[in-house]
Amino acid sequence: MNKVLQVRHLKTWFPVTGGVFKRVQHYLKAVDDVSISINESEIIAVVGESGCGKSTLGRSILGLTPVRDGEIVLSGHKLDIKKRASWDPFRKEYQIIFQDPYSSLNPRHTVFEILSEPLLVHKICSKKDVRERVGDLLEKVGLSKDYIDRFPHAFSGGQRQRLGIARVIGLSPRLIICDEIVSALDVSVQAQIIHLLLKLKKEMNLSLMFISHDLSLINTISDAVYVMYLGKIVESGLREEIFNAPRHPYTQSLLKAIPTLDINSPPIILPGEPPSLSHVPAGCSFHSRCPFKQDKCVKEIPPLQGEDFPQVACHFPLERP
Amino acid sequence: MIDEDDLFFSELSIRRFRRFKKVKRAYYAMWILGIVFFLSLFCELIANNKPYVLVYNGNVYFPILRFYPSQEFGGEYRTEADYFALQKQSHFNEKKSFMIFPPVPHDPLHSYLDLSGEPPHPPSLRHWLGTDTMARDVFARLLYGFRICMLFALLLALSSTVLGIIIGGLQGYLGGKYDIAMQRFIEIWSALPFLYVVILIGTWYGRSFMILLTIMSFFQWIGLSYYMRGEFFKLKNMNYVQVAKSLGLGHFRIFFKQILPNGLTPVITIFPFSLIGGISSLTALDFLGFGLQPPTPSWGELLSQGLSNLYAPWIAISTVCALFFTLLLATFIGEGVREAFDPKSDSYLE
Ligand SMILES: Nc1ncnc2c1ncn2[C@@H]1O[C@H](COP(=O)(O)OP(=O)(O)O)[C@@H](O)[C@H]1O
Ligand SMILES: [Mg+2]
Repeated sequence: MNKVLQVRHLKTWFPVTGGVFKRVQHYLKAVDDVSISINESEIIAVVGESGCGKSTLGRSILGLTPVRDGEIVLSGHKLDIKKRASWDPFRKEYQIIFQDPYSSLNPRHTVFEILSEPLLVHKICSKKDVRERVGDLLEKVGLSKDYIDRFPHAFSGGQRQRLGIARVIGLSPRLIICDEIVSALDVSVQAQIIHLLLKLKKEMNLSLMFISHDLSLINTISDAVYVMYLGKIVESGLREEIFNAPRHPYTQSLLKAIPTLDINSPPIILPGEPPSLSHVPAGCSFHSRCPFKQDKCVKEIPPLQGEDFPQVACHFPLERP
Repeated sequence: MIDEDDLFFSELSIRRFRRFKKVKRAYYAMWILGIVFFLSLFCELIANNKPYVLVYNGNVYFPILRFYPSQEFGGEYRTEADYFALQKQSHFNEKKSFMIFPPVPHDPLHSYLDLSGEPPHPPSLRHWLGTDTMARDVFARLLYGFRICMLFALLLALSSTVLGIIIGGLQGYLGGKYDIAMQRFIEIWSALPFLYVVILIGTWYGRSFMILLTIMSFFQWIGLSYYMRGEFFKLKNMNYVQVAKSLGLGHFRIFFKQILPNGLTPVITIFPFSLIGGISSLTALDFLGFGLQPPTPSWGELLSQGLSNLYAPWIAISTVCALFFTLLLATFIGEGVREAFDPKSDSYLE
């Protein structure tokens, strides 16, 4: 199977400086030893509470934030992660869409400028044809061609996210990282955007990396799921494995926290605040909130067990039913 | 509500322009200063001691555009004709000739030695604001001086803006070591005694317009660069800049097309004030005698003449008034712009 993306032992640590001389005191390990892989035309999801490093993972993969260590393999080519320029040949095929549709579009550029710039930079079409091409893109994402000379402020959140999609699909990408692209939108609009993405995925043979904290959304669309907690992957597997038989207590609690109308199984909310990345507990980072905590969990960091799916990082994984 | 027209402009720009228009004194000041400056670009057509047209002996001449030796009009020499004197000569009137002068028939460099009495001459019908100590028409000198002063201030504001954007912008955009190194350099650079540098370079290389402009722009960019550094630091983390990077747009495009248009607020709000700064510093340098080479018409030089000849108050009064109103208009504009760009009025919350 063709791998679109492979990430091995990726580390993105932000230095925390302090003191008179602004020396690095310790690191905020936003992404710590993360490995994921995406096959062609597959949808994978990365879930986790906010602040656990999901966005940082997405940005690290595209070289938008300096990576400390690890391996990134795009379409079979291993990148030199220390050189920003090593991403350049892949800028056309690897794209990202951000959560906030308002700050993702330059307020001083018209729709035409926003959508035509990538096409011209990558020489997808000539200056002469670019206007027509932009019109086509607008129609492809369900917007009217008449909007072409408007500024972003004239659009709603959902329409802006459509523009964000139009901007990247013009380049016929292989992979789009979707960083919580619908969480800022109304529920009805969310469905439309997801529907549009799935339609485009089918047409263009895209792979998608879905970053989200919305488990019900992930359950409907993804092929594989990675569960992230404080910068680390704690469990991964195919969708059915994760949703039907979670093995990590954190995954289980996430699933139980989905609001339901079933009186017999009310949602269970995890006790305690999610600890922040600046105060990661020693041992298993989840032990402070784990209902099944034992002595070993406080002392030893559990390694991620398993070569391929399913993997789990827990000393005492839950039994499969 | 947005009306249809607004969709084609950036909303913020429209709101700002409307707010600027609401500050009436700024809006009118902009028009007045703009029109006067525009007219002053054609000084030669307004104040000139050569007529627009001259009809002599049935021939038509355009002295304002071309050089004619005085022999052409019955004179003895091959030097340029003195049209003012010519007008009074008897043979000129006999030959059914006439000439049309510009509204101010004086050249700023011409000394009227034929006037009776010692210069400076008080205002008269011929010299509306009198003459200076070298018998040159004060009004013509003020007019030409205004043009030089405004041109100088505009070019200075432009060049220091460009430098400020590039240096400060790069600091914010690149950050890290470049930023720190540049910051230290700026601290040292801004501590240089500016006046000494101007005097030193002036004595070495002369005091031409371009040299003065260059030296002064090397010092003027610093203020703006601080603001641009901040803007670029802030804006480079905006999502659309991140997206632009991931789309593979080059640094040049990201710097000038993605970030800069959103970081122009300090540029525009500071511009009128750097204009004021330019006018004042050129006038001050001229006043001290370190500015433009004489006999260039200049307000600073007139001012120093006026002060050392207080018995001829028309020089000092007219120059001070001209300077006062120019600076006042520019300040009004600056205030209006600042009000229009005030972020406070963009938010609907208290
Ligand atoms: N450029 C950065 N410099 C320093 N810290 C950062 C930077 N970007 C993100 N972080 C920190 O990394 C942590 C993870 O952030 P993020 O990846 O945005 O989480 P998520 O997307 O899962 O909500 C946060 O604590 C955030 O403050
Ligand atoms: Mg995020």
